[in-house]
Parts: sequence; structure tokens; C-alpha cells
Amino acid sequence: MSPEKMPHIPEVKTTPERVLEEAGGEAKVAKKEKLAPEELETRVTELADLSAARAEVSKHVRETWGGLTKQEREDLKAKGDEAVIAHFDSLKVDPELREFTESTLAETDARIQELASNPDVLKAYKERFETLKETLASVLTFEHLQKELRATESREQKLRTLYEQFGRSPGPIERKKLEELANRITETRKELQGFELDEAAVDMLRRREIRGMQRDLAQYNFAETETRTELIREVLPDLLQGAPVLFQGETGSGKTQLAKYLSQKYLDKEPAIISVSEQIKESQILGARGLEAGETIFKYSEFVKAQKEGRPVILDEVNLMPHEFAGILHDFLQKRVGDVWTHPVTGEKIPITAPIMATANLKSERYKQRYELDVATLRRFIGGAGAREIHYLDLGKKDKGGGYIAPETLKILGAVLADRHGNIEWSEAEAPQKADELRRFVAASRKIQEDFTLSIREGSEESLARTDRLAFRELVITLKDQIEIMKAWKSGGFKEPLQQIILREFFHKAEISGRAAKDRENMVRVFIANKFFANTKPEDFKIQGLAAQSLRQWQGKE
Amino acid sequence: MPFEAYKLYQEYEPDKYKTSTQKKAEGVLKEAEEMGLGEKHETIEFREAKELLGEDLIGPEEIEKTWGFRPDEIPEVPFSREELERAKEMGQMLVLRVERTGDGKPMSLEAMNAILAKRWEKEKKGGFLNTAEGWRDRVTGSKDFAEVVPRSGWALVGKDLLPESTSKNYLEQTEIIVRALREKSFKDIEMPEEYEEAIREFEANKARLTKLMSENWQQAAKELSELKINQLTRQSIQETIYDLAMYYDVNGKRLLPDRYTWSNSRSTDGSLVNLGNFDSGGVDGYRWGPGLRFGLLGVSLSRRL
Repeated sequence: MSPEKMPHIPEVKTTPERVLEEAGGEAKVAKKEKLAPEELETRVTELADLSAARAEVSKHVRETWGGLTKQEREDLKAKGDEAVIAHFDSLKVDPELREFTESTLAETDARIQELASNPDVLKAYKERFETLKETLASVLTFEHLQKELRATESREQKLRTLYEQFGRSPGPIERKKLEELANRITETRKELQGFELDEAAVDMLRRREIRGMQRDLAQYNFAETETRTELIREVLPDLLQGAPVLFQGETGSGKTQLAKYLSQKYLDKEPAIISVSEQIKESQILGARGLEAGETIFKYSEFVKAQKEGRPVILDEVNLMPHEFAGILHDFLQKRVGDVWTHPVTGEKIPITAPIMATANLKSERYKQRYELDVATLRRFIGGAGAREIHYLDLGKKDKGGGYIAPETLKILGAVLADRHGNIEWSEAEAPQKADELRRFVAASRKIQEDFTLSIREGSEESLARTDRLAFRELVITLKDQIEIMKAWKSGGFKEPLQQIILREFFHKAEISGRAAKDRENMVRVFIANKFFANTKPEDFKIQGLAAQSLRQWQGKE
Repeated sequence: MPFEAYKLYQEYEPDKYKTSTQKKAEGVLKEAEEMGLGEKHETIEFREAKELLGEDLIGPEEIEKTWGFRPDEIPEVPFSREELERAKEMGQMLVLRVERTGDGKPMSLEAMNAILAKRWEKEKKGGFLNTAEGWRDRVTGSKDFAEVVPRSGWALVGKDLLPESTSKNYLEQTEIIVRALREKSFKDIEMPEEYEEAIREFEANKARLTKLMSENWQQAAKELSELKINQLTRQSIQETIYDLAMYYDVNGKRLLPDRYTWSNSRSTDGSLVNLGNFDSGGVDGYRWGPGLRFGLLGVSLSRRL
């Protein structure tokens, strides 16, 4: 990589320098202590930790002030106490919380000043910072190349799809352009292959990946992992051209969340989500007449309003759409961005500016006939971005020895458990045991999801009885459930054993009745097989009809 | 020191951020290996090995005697003198296995039976397979009976079962194998990386496989037999029979006359095959699920490089 291609890292002052400057700079540098090398290293590390944490501490102060910057806060204070009190009253901020965040920031700054006032410490810190900057530059370049490769590949794929769709061969100029793209892809791949990454850069890349997932989870309740990224890359070119896409999958496999994520992140639009049910009314699709200021008007539905506003529509569980609306749906699904749709009641011509996404549950044989998407509707999706199946993360993934593995799930749960620096607050001594707990939890969840999926696909209990599979009819532990359990574990500082959290956050919250109770019994069996609940009493699960004798058998006590 | 979250899954992405230096180093090592420039193992001369092991070396001459042809190419003995001395202490023999008969057919059970059964009967040496039909119909199936062959090359093979390996289930036996490798075969000798890796794989999957044995024995049998450690240190059906037959044919002594060794082969119904009880009736065998234990069933340590 030639230096001119390196991304620009601006020359900025380090946090300790800025804190010192704000506090009066060099005036505070009173004396110079002679430090032993170990002591110097300890102080530099402390200074680095404080500097890294300061951004978050400062953010908390800003949040408790309702988003005011430091200057804005000073301006408000200058207006007097009454103005400040009125501001906090309007924000309804707990004064104790504000006091806490401000004192934390003041103490952080005081300690930074104290440490940085020794020139040797500050110098060593700056050296460390410079090294980090170099690593960051290398990491940014690497990420830039990866993004460029993805973008070029996607552009090339989009163009090729276009020619395939229209069944024509590219002309000489187009061929040249395509060739240029292909060459660029080869070059970028080569550059990436030859890219020198040292350990520090790899460490930083991995931490940045986690941070990226944390951001996406916070913003979209969704994080991309390899298989999801691949799926997005496949559907996005068509979706951008306005073709409809259907995501079919098991309950809780993330279909709706994926559609929302695509809309918000890639189409940059807030989608309208229409929950389809057998009871859906025409008014919910097209709108209804109503009165406004004494006049009869036609109030458009969310569905139509979204189209008029150019927002994508997500038809959730479209397979439940009653047949009488099939005509409207089919008409709509044939439209592409740029087409005009005529509202059947008002006759208004609505230009289509955003695509339709739909989700459908894959149902068990028992319900299949009732819920299966009719062929005519399904056909509307094929040829566009298409009907895609989306399954639980890591479904069917096994290691060479045939054991279930869950790399993508672990990646997401790791991001949930980690702090913003990519670390999980487990001490060195407890980490192996905690990691083992986590892996067993993920293994149990995977087994439940695998068996649930097979129950859905293969149906009857008789065909399952001969294998080690357990039948799950209605309940499954989804990624969302796993994330909630992880959040609860983390918020308790990992002090409680994971099984307590599973009991509280999952078993006690899940529905207790009939068939679902049988599913939860089976879940208990799976967790016991993964070394959870070895001594848990039947009543602790709160499962209706869970027999003590069966539980003891599963626990190996009888 | 907090725990880096990426450590939870980085093992599944070994190549994601591989540095170019690592890639280059791997490339060079692979190339060197292909060119035969890999790390040199001080191997023993064949003549020296024969002197050391005597009748416990079953080599080209013995192949000629039993199977009626001399192999065109004899591979170098891949073990060091130190390893062979250790093997001798452990009661192992050194066997050269071939995968083709003199007329170029696969050295399958069918071919071995065709060569030996009649001759032994004629020479009043007793039976070879007890019975050939039983092995074919109940254990291997006709296809494997006619096609599956021993893995060719030199192997060190225990003439008897490993002490303490009887009355153990398949997984417990594998633990005994690992212990024997660490405490005997490679004691004070550097263990090859292939073995280290196989042991790591076994250790990493042990708890899961223990559970799997009670939940789904067929799957457990499959995974256990495919474990690298069991591929490296247990004989297959064909290898056991080849080894037993050759040792008896050239030395007149039947190994495992009243005991059984558990192989890494599976029968047509997915169970793991154990074989032995090599008496005048020939080599006998059973097919069992991996969780069973039996006083006469253990494992002979057989290792290859």
C-alpha cells in the first residue's frame, strides 16, 4: 500500500493534552518525579484506560444535560441557577444522577491531569498513542479495501443481473465497463491478500467489528453476520430497483427484523409494517371513508400512506392474507419503482417509489395447507429479488467431527456481552468457566432450534420418535431470547449463574399451557443434557404438569 | 485483564485476518513439504530395524511369503531407532501393509480370503475368517468386503491389547490410547504435531461425545470412529486381519487368540467392529455400540506416520 493511499488520520491532541490544556496547561506541571520503568508503565496504562473511558463519561454528562455540549452548558449556567433548574425540570432528570455523572467526569479529569503532569508519563503515553494511530491507519485502509471490494462486486453483479433480466448481451462499451469492474475486483483482491496485518491490527479489527455490531444492535435491533451479509448482498440490487422480496422462515428467525434493517440502513427509510392476519380488513389495506370537519373524506391506510410517502412496506406474515385481497396484493406486487398504481377506490394515481417486503412463516405440516402462500402470490416474488428462506443463525453448521457449532450466534452474543472496547468483564480466573457456560447455553439453544426446524419440516411425532430428536411444536428459543438472557446476565455483573437467568428470563416468561408446556419440558431436557439445572426442583421451572419423576430421570437421579 | 469477546468465536474464522506474513510462511512450508524439504525425522535403516525387531518386523520378505509377491517399492521405515526401541518395549511389531495383491487387485478381505483360506486349509493351519460369509453379510457388506483395503505403509502394531484397555467403552479406550501415547510411546520423545492435534480434537469433543453416546449411539459411533486419534492409532478391520494373518503365517503364532481389539471401522448397521478370538476357526468379530464394555475387549495400539 503506497502512503498516498493511506487514509488520513488527523493530527489531533491526545485526551490528556486536551484535559491539561483545559485545566491551565503546563502551569499545573509542578514537579517531575523520577519513575522506575515498571511504575512508568503502570501509570501510562492507567492514563490510557482513563482516556479511553473519558469519552463515555463525558457522553453521560451530556445526556443528563439533555444533549447540551460543554459550551452550551456553560452558557446556560451563565444565565443563572433559575435557568438551570428550569432546564432540568423540563428534562425530568434525577439531580442525583446528574451529580454522579458530573463528579465522575471531574474525578476522571483530575486523575488524568495528575498522571499527565509528569512529562515522562505524558511522553510515553503519546508514543503509545502514535503506535495506535499507525495501527488505526492500517486498519482503516484494510477496511476501506474490503468495502471497495464489496461495492465493486455488488456493482458488477447488479449489471450482470440487468443483462440477464432483459436477455440481451452487453454492447462493446458496456463490455469494456464490465471488464474494468472485473479487473478492479481482481486488483483489490490481490491488494487485500498482500496486505500486512500485524497482531495489533488484527486485534483492533476484531474489536471494531464487535463495536459495529453493538451499534447496529442498538440502532436496528439487528446485526450483520456472514450469512446475513451474504443474503443482503443477494437481494439488495433487486430491492434497490424496487422489486418485491419475500422472506420465508421459522418463527423467530429474524425475517421481519431483517426487512426493517434493510429498509432503515440500506434504503434509508422508515418502513410501514402491516401485520397481516386472517381478520385483516379492506380498510387496513386500502383505507376507509371517514368524517373530518363535517366532511366525508377517504382516509388512506398505513399501507397506502407509506407508498405515497415513498416508504417501503413490510407485509408481516403475508401468508395469512385472506384470498379476497389476493387481487389487490398481486396488482401491487407487479409494480416496480417508477410505475404508477391507481388506488381502486379513490382513483388517485400513486407513483411507486419504494419496494414491498413481505415475510411468511414456515409452518408445520399440520398447518401447512391452511397457511401456505398461494402459488400465484409466490410467483409475484420470483423474478424480483425473489422469495428467500431465512433460518436460525448457524442452522445445520457442524465442525469436522460432526458437532454443532454456532460461530455467528457466538459473535452476536459476544457483542452483547462486551463493553464498547470489545471486552467482557470476566476475570482471567473466571473466564474459562463463564465461556463454558455460554457455549453450553448456545449449544442447547442450537439443539432446540435444530429440532424445532425439523419438527416443522418433517412433522409428525412418529417420525421423530426413532431418533434423538425432540418435538417442538410452538415454542423455540430465538436469537432475540438469547440476547435478552445475555443482557440480563451482563447487567447483573455476571454474578448469578447463567441457569438462574435462563429460568427467570425465559422459562418464567414463556407461556404456560397445553402444547407449549410440552415444548418447555423438552427444552428442560435439552438444557439438562447441556449440564444446566442438575439440581433444579420441578416447581422452579413453573411448567404446568412437569412430573418430578421425569425431571429426576433427566437429571440422572433415577 | 478482561476477556476479549472475539475469543469466543475466532477459532471459527482462522483465515479471516491472517497476516500476509503468516500466509507467506504457510505457503513456503507447504512448498517445502511438497519438495520433501520438511523437517527431517532421523529414520532407521531397514536392516537395522530388522536386527532390532527380528520376527516382529513384518516386511517385504514376509509379504512375499504370505501374499506371494514382493512389492516393487519399499517405503523407508518412518520411525527413529529410539521409537522402535520403545515400540519393542511396549510389545509392538512393525508391519508393512500393501493395498494391492500381486496381480494388482485391491487387498480386500475378499482377496486376502481368496489367497489364504485354501492354502491354510491345505497346510492345516486352520481357518482364516470365521466366517468369510459372516464378515461379508453381517459386518462389511459385499461392496466393502471386495473393495476396502488396508492403508499402505509401515505401522507399529501392538501384539496384544493395551493394559487397562479391557472393560472400557470406546471413548474410555480412546483415553487409554492417549495416555499410552503420552506416557509410553512418546515419553521423552517429541510427539508429532499430527498426534498433538488429534489429541486436542479428542479432548475438545470428549464431553460432547460422552453425552452423545447415550443420546444417539449411531452418531456417536460415527464421530468416534472418525476422530483423528482413532484413525491414527486404531486398526481398521482390514488392517487387523492383514496384521494377524501375516504374523501367524510367517511366525506360526496367533495373536489375540482369546481377546478382541476394537477397530476404527463401522459395520453396515453403524456399530463399531471389534475383532479377534483368532483360533483355529479364524478371525472372529462383533459389532457393538460404543457404550458397551466387555472383559475380553480392549484395544491394540497401532500407529502410523
